[in-house]
Amino acid sequence: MLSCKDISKSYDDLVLSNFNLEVEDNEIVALLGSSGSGKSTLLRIICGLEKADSGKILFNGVDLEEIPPDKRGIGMVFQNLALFPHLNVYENIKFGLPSKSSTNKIYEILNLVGLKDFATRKIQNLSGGESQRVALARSLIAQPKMILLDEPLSSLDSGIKESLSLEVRKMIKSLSIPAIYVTHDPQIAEKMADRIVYLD
Amino acid sequence: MKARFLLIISWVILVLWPLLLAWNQLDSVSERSIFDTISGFNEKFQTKNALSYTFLVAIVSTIFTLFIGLPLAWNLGRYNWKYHNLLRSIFTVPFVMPTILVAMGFLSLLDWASILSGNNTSERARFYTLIFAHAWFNLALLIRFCEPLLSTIDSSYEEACRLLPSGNTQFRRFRNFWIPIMWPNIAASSALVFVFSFTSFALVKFITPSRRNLEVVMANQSEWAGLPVPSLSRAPSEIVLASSTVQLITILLALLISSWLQSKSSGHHLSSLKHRRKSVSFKSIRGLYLIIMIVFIISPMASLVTSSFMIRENTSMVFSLQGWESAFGGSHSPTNAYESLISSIFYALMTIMLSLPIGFFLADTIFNLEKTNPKFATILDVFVMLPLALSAVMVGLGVLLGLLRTEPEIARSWWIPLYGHLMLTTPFVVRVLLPAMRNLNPHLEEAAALLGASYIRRLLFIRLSLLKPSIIVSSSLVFAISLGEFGASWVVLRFTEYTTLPVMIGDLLSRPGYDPILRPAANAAGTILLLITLTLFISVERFRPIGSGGEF
Repeated sequence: MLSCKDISKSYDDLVLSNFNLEVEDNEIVALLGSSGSGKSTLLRIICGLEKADSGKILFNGVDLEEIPPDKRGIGMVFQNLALFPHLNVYENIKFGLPSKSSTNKIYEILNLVGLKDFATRKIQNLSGGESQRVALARSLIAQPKMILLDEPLSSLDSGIKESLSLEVRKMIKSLSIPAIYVTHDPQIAEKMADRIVYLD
Repeated sequence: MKARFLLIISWVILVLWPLLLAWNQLDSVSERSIFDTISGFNEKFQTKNALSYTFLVAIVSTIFTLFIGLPLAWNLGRYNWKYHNLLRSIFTVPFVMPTILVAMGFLSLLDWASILSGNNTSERARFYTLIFAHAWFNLALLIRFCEPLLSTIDSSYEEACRLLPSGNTQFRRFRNFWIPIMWPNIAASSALVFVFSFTSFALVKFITPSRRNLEVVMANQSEWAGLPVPSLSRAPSEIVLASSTVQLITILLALLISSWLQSKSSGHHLSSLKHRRKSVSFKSIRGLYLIIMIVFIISPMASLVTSSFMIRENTSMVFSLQGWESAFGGSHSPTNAYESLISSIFYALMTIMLSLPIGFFLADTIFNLEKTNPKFATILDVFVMLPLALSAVMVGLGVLLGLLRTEPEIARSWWIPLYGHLMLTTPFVVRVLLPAMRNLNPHLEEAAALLGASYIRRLLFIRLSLLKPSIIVSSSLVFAISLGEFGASWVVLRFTEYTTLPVMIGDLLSRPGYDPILRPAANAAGTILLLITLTLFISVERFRPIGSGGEF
């Protein structure tokens, strides 16, 4: 279970003020809010890319404050997906594989995201939906204990967005891990999540 | 279309004709084959060790430039500094500095070092100084090629790396992300640093006068090469022919590799502009490094200016205005600094008037061909860049041997130096204007055409108007290159009465025997050139289009 307690963060303006959130095991929570409401900032604090000005984050009872991002066991899919353009699909996913793990897992995960024939494909030659699946596969192959998704479907058109959000939900549920899904689209939030939390 | 075709043909003739004439002239006097001459290089004192020295200097200079330049590009690209734009200007100004000024700046630093240490300057110290001078001059290339990419890569890529096993340490991020992303830019800039160090003339000639690279060998032999008196000119002709062939092949290979790598670089489609640079203070380790680099950049220029007010007396330096008096009085040179400056400005203005329209229409032709005939556009692009591959001394030799030795009556024509300047500056105009043309919104001209604007009206009020910043930048670049051009002018102008400021400085530095006034006089003339170039650079830098990365 993830607990965010009294999280505050400010840059030039106050972004988050004493924010509290709890995510149960295997639960998918959608964070819904307008631009600048601090949704992405909260995800970055949870995975350790930024530090909160005050507050605590506990994951399965452990305080994450002193734990570096790569040791927290939390995966993240970025808004622009951050797929490495100099690597193909296989190599991008391998980037997320711990060094001594078997590469068979790459094909297993490609299969899971429905891209088993795309291993050698260049990133530039993927559609928006395919890129999104690769980004998800790259995050999942490290076997995270939780996954954070920062509006990864925002650049897709509404038809694909709907069907893909259901697929993503299915995949996360099949892995039995909790997830936080950031969006500003209420319809997607409803389809995707077990619970919706509003951030203003 | 007919006009464009004529322009291309004219450019081909302009570039190739003197060179072909020159090679023909050299070949007619030579008896040994190029291969035989090269294999006998170490037997002749004029060429002994020249080949190995050329490669040694170019390779060591390239490695050292990378060693100090990459951390600089990284720190400028990934961090936000107070006065960031000023810092970028400071680190890119060396590239527009005339090489003869760079040589003088580092020579005056050597003088100070020799006085402070009480020892004479050793050969080894001169070699290291030459490497530092090449790094100083070429640092801007690394920054221009690498910093724009580093500063615009979205921070989410590095953050994604930090969360994944293959990028969770600084070392792994460098190995698995930064190096694969950056290496085409690093390699392309390294190839250019290699070319400029390989063809270095003024720096090698004056900083390590007892050693010769191929460029110095060719310039030294230019006086006798190609003359129709075989007994005098056979050996020099053979040397120039062999040296120019080796040089041309090496440079073409380096430029081809650079061009190939750049095409690989443009294949990476990284999302950009979301990178939020971290602010860093000058009171950090990074800040200390940056301050050391600022001192490195400023010290040769400051030393040049202060040395113009100093004269050496045995083992000390004393304040004196004799250098300035000699430079402006012309007591130690055929012309004074004022006349040479007027001559330099005249040639620089004439070069702008010619190379800007020629460069514009060549860039426009390539730009239009890219849409209709991309292969031909690439060929033309490579051809336009050809003079850059020839080096200044080779261009000068082409003009000298190709035109002056075959048509001696034009030797005293005032336009002869223009020929070399035009060939050396036009490629830069194309390189600045072509990317700017590619960035123009094509719909603007189409909208103007639908509103009834004629071709001339569209050219004047849409295209030229939108290209104004790039035209100003390229004009200043042409002016600066022409004003400080030394290699070609040194080869050609020694035989005419139109001495430019760099040639006057070169003449003062090349005088045999020791005269304490010569160096301060050259420094005084150099200070004038430095101030003009700096003023030009600073006033024009604000016109540089935002986000213009790479090239010049």
